[in-house]
Amino acid sequence: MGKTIIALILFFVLAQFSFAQDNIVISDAWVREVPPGTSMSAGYMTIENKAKNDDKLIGISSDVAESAELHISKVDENGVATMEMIKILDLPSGEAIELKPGGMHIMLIGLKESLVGKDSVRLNLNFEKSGEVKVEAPVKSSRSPTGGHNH
Amino acid sequence: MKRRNVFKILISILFLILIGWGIIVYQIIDIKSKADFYGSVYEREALSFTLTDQNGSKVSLSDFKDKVVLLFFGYTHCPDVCPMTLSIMNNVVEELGDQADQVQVLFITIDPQRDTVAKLKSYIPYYNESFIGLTGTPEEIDKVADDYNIFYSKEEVESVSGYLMGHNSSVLLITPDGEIFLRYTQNRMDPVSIAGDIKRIL
Ligand SMILES: [Cu+2]
Repeated sequence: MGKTIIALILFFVLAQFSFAQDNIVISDAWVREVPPGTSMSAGYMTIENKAKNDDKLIGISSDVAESAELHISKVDENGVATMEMIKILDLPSGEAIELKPGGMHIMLIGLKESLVGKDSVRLNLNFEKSGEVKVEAPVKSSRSPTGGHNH
Repeated sequence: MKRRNVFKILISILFLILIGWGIIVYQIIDIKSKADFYGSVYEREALSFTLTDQNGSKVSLSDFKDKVVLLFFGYTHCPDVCPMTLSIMNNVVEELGDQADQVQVLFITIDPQRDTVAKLKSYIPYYNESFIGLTGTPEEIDKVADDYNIFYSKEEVESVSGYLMGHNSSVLLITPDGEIFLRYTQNRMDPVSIAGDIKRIL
């Protein structure tokens, strides 16, 4: 009986550890294909914090760009669009944050190579608690608004 | 004889009342039909301009007299809103099918410092071969943006990207008779609905 209880406790403790890897779940990631010679592009995805604790996105990098920053596009009531940089993105426990065109985006600055013809781009997201999360984001054509229709 | 005159006057008054009614009803229908457009009704004169396109040729608004013009302002270092708008414009043109040649998309840069003719050449046709990108001297761009009520400013953000531009990102629909008839803000960018407006105008 005592052994069973210990085994059960051990099982749940170990189960906790195996789930811990899935604290940050990234879905629907993609990067916008831009015309050759363009120095900027943007990446989009949904970041979900499935951990019990709050986390923070504190840095982004990619090997195709000199640097990567989190930005948000804002359009005011007069139609004027501006961008603001978000240095640290709070990710409360259990919440999902959507990065999408016209809103929050990962700005790829100083592209080192053309994205045309590339299948995907590696994005490294650095979280305060969960550490580095690598994302393989498919490159989607810019010729359609949501990045679909990439033949 | 006098009775006949009274009768004539009465008929005339009745006639005038009917005309009045007609005008009122017509206006109500007219306003209603305007409200049916997806874009917001703007109705301002589209002032003429001449700028340089991606092939180095001079292009004026009057070159597209028999077309519907979709005009908007942006810059090629813009990573999010401008590529999104350009791809939506491509979808609008695709949606129009065989009426596509009756529409001209014009992109005017508000960053002439970086957006040279060569830069536009490598950027604009990627989205659609028929699109025209326009640049000019900073003074020329200033004038056009002012004429079209387009605010823009250089933003020194705390970013390694150098500078970004804040700019009015609305798309203006100019009718063949030279009126900025409709305006599409970023929350009104459904390509099928925009194409629907154009089909109604054409
Ligand atoms: Cu940005």
